Amino acid sequence: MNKTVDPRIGEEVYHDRIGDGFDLWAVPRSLSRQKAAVLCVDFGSVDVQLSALSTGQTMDLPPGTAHFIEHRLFEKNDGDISDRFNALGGDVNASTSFTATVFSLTCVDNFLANLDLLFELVLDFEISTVGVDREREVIARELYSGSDDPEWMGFMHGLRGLYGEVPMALDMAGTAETIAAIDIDILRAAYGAFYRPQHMALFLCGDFNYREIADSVEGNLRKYPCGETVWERTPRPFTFPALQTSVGLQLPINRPYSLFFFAEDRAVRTGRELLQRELAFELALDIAFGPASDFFAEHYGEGLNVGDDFGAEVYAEPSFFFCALGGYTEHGKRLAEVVEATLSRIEGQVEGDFRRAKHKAYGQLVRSCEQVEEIADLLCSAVGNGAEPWDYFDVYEDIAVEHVQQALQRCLSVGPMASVHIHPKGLVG
Amino acid sequence: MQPAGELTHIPLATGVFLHLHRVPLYKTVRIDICIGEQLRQGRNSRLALISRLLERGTRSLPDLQSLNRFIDELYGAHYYAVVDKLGEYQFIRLCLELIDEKYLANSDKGIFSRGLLFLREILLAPAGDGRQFKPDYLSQEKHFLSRQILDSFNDKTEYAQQRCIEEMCRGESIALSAFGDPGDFAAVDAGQLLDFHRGLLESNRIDVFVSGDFDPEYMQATFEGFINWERHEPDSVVQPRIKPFLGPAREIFEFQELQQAQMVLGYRTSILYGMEDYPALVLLNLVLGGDGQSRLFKHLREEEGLCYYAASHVEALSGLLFVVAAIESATYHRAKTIVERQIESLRRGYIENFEIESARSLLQARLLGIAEDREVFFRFQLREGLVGGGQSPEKLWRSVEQVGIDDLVRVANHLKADTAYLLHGGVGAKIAI
Repeated sequence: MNKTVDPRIGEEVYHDRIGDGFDLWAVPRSLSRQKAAVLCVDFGSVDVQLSALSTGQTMDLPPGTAHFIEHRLFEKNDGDISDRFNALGGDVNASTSFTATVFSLTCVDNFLANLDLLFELVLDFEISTVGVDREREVIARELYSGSDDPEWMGFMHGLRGLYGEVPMALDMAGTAETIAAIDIDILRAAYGAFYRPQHMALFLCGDFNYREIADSVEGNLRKYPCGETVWERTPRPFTFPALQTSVGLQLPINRPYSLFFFAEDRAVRTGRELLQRELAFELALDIAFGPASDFFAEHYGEGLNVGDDFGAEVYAEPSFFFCALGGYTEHGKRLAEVVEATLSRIEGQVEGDFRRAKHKAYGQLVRSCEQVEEIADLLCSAVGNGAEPWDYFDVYEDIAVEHVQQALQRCLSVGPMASVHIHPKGLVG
Repeated sequence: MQPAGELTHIPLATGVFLHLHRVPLYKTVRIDICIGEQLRQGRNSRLALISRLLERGTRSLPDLQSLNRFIDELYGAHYYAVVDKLGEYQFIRLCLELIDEKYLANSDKGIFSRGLLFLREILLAPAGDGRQFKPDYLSQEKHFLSRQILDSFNDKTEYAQQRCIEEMCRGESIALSAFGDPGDFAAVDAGQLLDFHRGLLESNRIDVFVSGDFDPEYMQATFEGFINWERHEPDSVVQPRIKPFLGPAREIFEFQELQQAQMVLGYRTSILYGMEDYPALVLLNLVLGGDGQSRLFKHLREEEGLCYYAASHVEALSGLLFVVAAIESATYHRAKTIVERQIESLRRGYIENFEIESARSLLQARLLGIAEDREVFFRFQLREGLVGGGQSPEKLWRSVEQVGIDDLVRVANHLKADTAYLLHGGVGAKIAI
């Protein structure tokens, strides 16, 4: 067992590697009533290939497989397992991202019993053809709701413009066509390859006895030994940007919406280096376009007439790195020019505005680790990025003006690599 | 079990209440100032416009850039002003979140007192010449607020919910939007609006909530001089009323180009927050369509595959219950029949013991956990303040503990289907109106 204390934030974190590489991270909080657990499986929507252990021959998985399994796991022989969580006062939820399937739990009482259920949820896989058919209908409805959301559609089209026809550019749930191709054999093969202790980690925060928790995790891993598999996962490559396109589409919205995408085209980074690069991009975008920027002062309610929905977000993981910038404006074309012009001359302002942007980032970081669920999520994203939980604080302390300047020079000031303009259509309000 | 923090309520001035919540877990101190009144046509638009102007600047920080720079320099403090509603109570809310000075170097201390001064200046000296709000800011914010109202069109679930309430509660305050009506905006003048704002400060109910890890006595002393202007007794703020079901049940269909239809079924419950049957209503709602494993989830999603999302929720201060589901328009009648059948079976007492106990456990965890979720606890406390209850989540939980099946059946029999609303993208014939 490894225990570290971070004096800056006054929290301690425990870490163990159990059995075949199952990682357990825990932050005890004796003053908290609520307890949170996040069980993360290293299997996301970009993972669409298996390889045979014996021959190395590969098999493609239809996009949407990870999400399909996430849904199916809730269905056990005696009904939906959420019932049993609820009976124990546990709230359970799951989601699938590009690179992970995450099962999260919050409760006040019965933490150990709820944790047992969390392991049963993830490690006890029962599947029937009828269930798979029913699930397909439910997922199709989920996809429909996404297609009525202009911002989500803009985001997905932008990724297609940026990366081309790759899994990164598809909804995490797949498409109507790909989910039609998912059957019971595919689900079994993918489950067997990905749902193994070495691809999993558990993140906890709350009032508990760490020793007791670690024993319970060991017990659960023994209780559900994973079966033999003939398949293994293939390594997840870095997704490089492929295209430079501008996409226009029409959706039933009432105002035009524009998004610009920038991507890192250098090889994989992980750990602190990744966190630092992420922070550098965030600071650069805040200095250039944030609510305190000259851009915002000039164009809020005037000029390009952007509103407070205008903003930027950085998406950084070891297997991809991009940022999206934009919002609602009637002047999408002109916005494109202004964005480029702003980025090309912002470098000179970095030094003068660095302190403010850094203070702001520090506030956001501290604010993001108040509630137990937030701490569990923070642990999960740090470890998922190959970093240690408190590296975020080190990275904050070490960041320097030149890191921000590099982000601008190497990537942002080169100009967006893809853009999306959504125009209103049809019967509008 | 850990204490849910320490609560202190202190009257600060006539109609002004300070609510301190000391929770040792927090790393920030958050101040929420709420200025509110019963929703009224016309006035609602002015409150909404003022909320936006209170984000634009003060006399010493006269524009967005200087205001935002100031806030960022306070170590990433977070400030916003919004307008919102709780039942028929509309309120402007100023929220300032500051890092607890424990997490800052000595040289950076003092941000709390700077933050408080800022909030006072926002209220007492918003950007402008002291006679009116800045006219150009006002016209920009009229534009943005109109836009925000139009944008609610983009969120189909929210839009359908709002439309159902409008149709169901025509003429009632609850049907009015907290964001106001763009039709009112043209007539609003910057000078009159500032007078109106001063009127709110003098005679509306004001609640100040502070949460964080602080010494309550010290905090109380800090706020002692905060309200140093003349105050009048506010009008009795909000009187939750039960509107009886006048019948007949109605169906409203609205067309938009959509992939998926949104169904909202509105019921009148005859039960308000604070009434004896309220705990039973909350529990019943969880059995029917609270998230997780409700009846609706089981029957609409799992058995019939009709939807991805189905839930019900209670409007505690208005005696309303809504069932919401995203479905295919062609299955509307089937979906609606299933919901009605489920409610009918609850009325007849077909409720399994495990359903009740499971909902009860979930509710226990949620109620006892509320105090560690600032946003949820904020609304809980505000609601308590409005009905003059001062009830804790623990106390509500103790009432929920006592609810039996007879109570659930009685409450289910109070549910009267009022308005069924469908926002659909299918051709009319497909839903066989």
